[in-house]
Amino acid sequence: MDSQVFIILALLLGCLATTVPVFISLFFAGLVGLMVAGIDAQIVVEVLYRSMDKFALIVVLFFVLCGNIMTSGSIVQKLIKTADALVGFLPGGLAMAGILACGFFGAISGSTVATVVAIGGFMIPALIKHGYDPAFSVGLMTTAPVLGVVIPPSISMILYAMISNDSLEALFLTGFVPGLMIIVAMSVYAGLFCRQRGQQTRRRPSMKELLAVLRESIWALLLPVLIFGGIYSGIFTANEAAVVACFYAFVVEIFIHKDLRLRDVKKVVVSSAITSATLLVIVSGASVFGEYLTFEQIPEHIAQAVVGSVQSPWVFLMAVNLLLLVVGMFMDIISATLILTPIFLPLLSRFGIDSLHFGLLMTLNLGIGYCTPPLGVSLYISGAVADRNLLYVSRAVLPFLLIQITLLLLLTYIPELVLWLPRLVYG
Amino acid sequence: GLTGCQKEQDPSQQEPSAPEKAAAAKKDPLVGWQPQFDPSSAQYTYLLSNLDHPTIEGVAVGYHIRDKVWERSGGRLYVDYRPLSQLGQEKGVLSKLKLGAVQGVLCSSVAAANISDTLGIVNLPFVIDSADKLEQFRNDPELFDEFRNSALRQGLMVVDITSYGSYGWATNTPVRTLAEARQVNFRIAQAPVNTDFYRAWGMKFTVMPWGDVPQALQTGVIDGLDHTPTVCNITHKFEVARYFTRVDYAQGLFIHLMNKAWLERLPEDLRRILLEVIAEESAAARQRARVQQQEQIAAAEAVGVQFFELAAEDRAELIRLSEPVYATWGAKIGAEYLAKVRQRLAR
Amino acid sequence: MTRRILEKFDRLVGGIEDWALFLSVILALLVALANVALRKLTPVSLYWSDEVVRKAIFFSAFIGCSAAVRRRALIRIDALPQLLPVLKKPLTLLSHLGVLLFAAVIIHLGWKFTLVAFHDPYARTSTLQIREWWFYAVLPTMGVFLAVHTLLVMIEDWFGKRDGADPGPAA
Ligand code: NA
Ligand code: NA
Repeated sequence: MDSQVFIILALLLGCLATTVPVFISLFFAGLVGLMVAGIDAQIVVEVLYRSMDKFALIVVLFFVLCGNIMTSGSIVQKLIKTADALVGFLPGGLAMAGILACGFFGAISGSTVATVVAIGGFMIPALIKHGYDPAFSVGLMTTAPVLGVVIPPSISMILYAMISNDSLEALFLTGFVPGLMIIVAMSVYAGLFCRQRGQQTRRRPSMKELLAVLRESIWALLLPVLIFGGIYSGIFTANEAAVVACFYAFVVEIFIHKDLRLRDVKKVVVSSAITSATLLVIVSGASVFGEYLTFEQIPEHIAQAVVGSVQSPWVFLMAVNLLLLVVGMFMDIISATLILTPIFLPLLSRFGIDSLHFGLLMTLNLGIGYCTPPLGVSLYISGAVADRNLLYVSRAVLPFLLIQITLLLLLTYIPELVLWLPRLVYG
Repeated sequence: GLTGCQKEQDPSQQEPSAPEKAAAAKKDPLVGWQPQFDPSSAQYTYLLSNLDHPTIEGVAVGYHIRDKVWERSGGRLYVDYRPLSQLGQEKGVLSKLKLGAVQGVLCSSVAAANISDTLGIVNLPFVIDSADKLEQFRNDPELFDEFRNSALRQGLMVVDITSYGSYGWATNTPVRTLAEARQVNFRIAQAPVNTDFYRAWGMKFTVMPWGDVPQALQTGVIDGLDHTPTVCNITHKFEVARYFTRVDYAQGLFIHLMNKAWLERLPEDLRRILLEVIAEESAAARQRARVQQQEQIAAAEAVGVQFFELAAEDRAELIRLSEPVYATWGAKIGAEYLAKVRQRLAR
Repeated sequence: MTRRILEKFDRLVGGIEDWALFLSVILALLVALANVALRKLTPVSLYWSDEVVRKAIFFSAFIGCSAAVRRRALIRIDALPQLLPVLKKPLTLLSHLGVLLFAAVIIHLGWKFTLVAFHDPYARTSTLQIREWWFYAVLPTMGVFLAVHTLLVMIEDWFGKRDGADPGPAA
């Protein structure tokens, strides 16, 4: 590792700080890095082109579109009205509904970015409208999507298992207990926060009122049934569900609710395309920067520098946690998993660390990195979704990050929490 | 590490002379992936990419080449080998190879068909459909030289080939007959020649990059995979797809492509060392790949994966259905060359 | 005078972008929907649908990026100008210059790469065998559009907005 890396990093931070768009900052840093390394600059064109050629990205466009149709019409209002009628009388009830939605949806999409867009997009305005503290709402819906990579299926786990030769089913099983812990801890915090704030809780609605709400919202309620039911019953994949949901939302809003006029369709589609484009180009920029990191083997060098001299497993895991948290801010979880797994695996036996345990830690760590200030991608995405600036979002996520990092430490130093379930099933 | 979860072991990683090291290798298949020398002193670096897992012999060859070249060149040439798609998916890596940003690729035969039509000859069904025929094809200069030189127009040369086994169908439901196979939605590789014969066979299929297969298989977008037993077992595809139908219609190959301009800039002695080592190690890897396929099938069967042979009359039917593909691809590859290869290998 | 021409060009480009985005997203949606319907209800599977959707997403991402500049919707970190409001104007200028530099780089590199792909008969998509230079050409095109939008936004920042020149927010 030499001074080059620090110059490139300074360039990136400089561009970001001076309000150059995030994707262009990443692009410049990657481009200059590649050129300094003596690599033909033209490859960035290739990288931009291929970076969009990914299965997992299809879902981003379609869920953004679905979300926009729902908010342009009245599906979202009706869904929230129902959720409020069902759990609104609990302190923090609607917030808990949002956490659970991330758990469910993230389990399906396997991507934190898509989860922030799909759930945060309508939960943040809904929470604020129902009197929840805005910063609390933004922080909650930025950090809860980490459940998407922890609760299986998770793309990063699939890739980790592929490299480590662990059984994929076993690795998936490591995610359930930590996922549940995150759900419970965040829900408890939400309940306490709302009680302490004296959040208005309303009386429990009567059965008759409840039925009236349900009747009014039946078409809206069928949408999540279609998405979750379709996917968990195995009828649809996540991509297919996003497509079908768009179509369903169009039909309901235009022909049944009549809350979306045909001539507004173009406006909704175009604005969705632009919103999803602002997110997708960040993925592209990160790919160019990632290309530089990969060519120069920067993560390997950092990993060796950070953990090379360590003797104790405790210190090793702590160093790795810190490192992954930082890497998670800069790199997408898929590239980071592919590049770092082969570096860490050979070190595990030296410290007597189980590779299943490590796989879960790595996944959770990179996921938390996604929403760690100042560079976690989720911060920008939820900032865009909620129309808040970075400073605001960064402050908002802090209490939730504290919870997640505490849980990460628990899971790091009590491996039984992670390994209990796979051991139970596989003996 | 105390879980009882199954792990595959890679016998090639074990060194009987050092039992401790062998025990470590048993646990961590990646021991030995990092070079045992410090490459920073090398004068020249050969950046070599591959998309797959180094437990596969046809992929592991990159590490063997790395170590031997380092030794023979006295530390002047470092083969910087990056498997596991670290440098990106194949089509993108091939672009980088043409630009010289990457200097070598162990490219899967299916993707190599995007470089020249002639390279697609190895994908054609029932042409090079056994390890013996592959060896014959590789060692007959009259057959191999045309193949070797077919990418020169793109500035690339084929320096050698290794294998990852015999193509068949890994599926979620048992497939014993062609009729059953036609119920399955297969993932096939991103190559025009494969699209053509799957259409000729009248099968359902989806074309997608290898990197997307885990998610697609897990979520049920596809319920079958056109691949080899070795790759399916090592990359965990058998955990979802529990059945494998032996069709043995082609050999899965890694074609070692090299940027010609880069090679020509290399000093004469290093050039000779590099090409020699690649030839020696690739030949050895092709032999090990045969053994590995048997071992991987046995390992998969031991955990309950069922293997079937495609019925003889169904295989004959596939060969019959392939005829139009030989005609269209013969026109692209060169009808004479294709006929020569088919004729010599049929003997 | 220059400004009027630029505004006209900006509106024209904006119109092209909006229609291109609308059509590509609708195409992707319809093709994906057809594939789902056919796969669930018939034994037919559209093997090319995935490629169409991917390419439409590539197209909409980069054309949408240019449209986002017009609506000032590109995601950036605005912590510094918020902390030090006095820096707001110079930083905005710097940010625009960054976008213009990016546009110049992508026009140059994208054009070169498009030519390479144009002369390579094998540069085709995997499934439908569409010539790939069409897609590479999207990048320099986006560069031109980006530059036009950015110049106009800079003029607006400098001289103030004119009536009726506001294309409205993105979402
Ligand atoms: Na998940
Ligand atoms: Na993921």
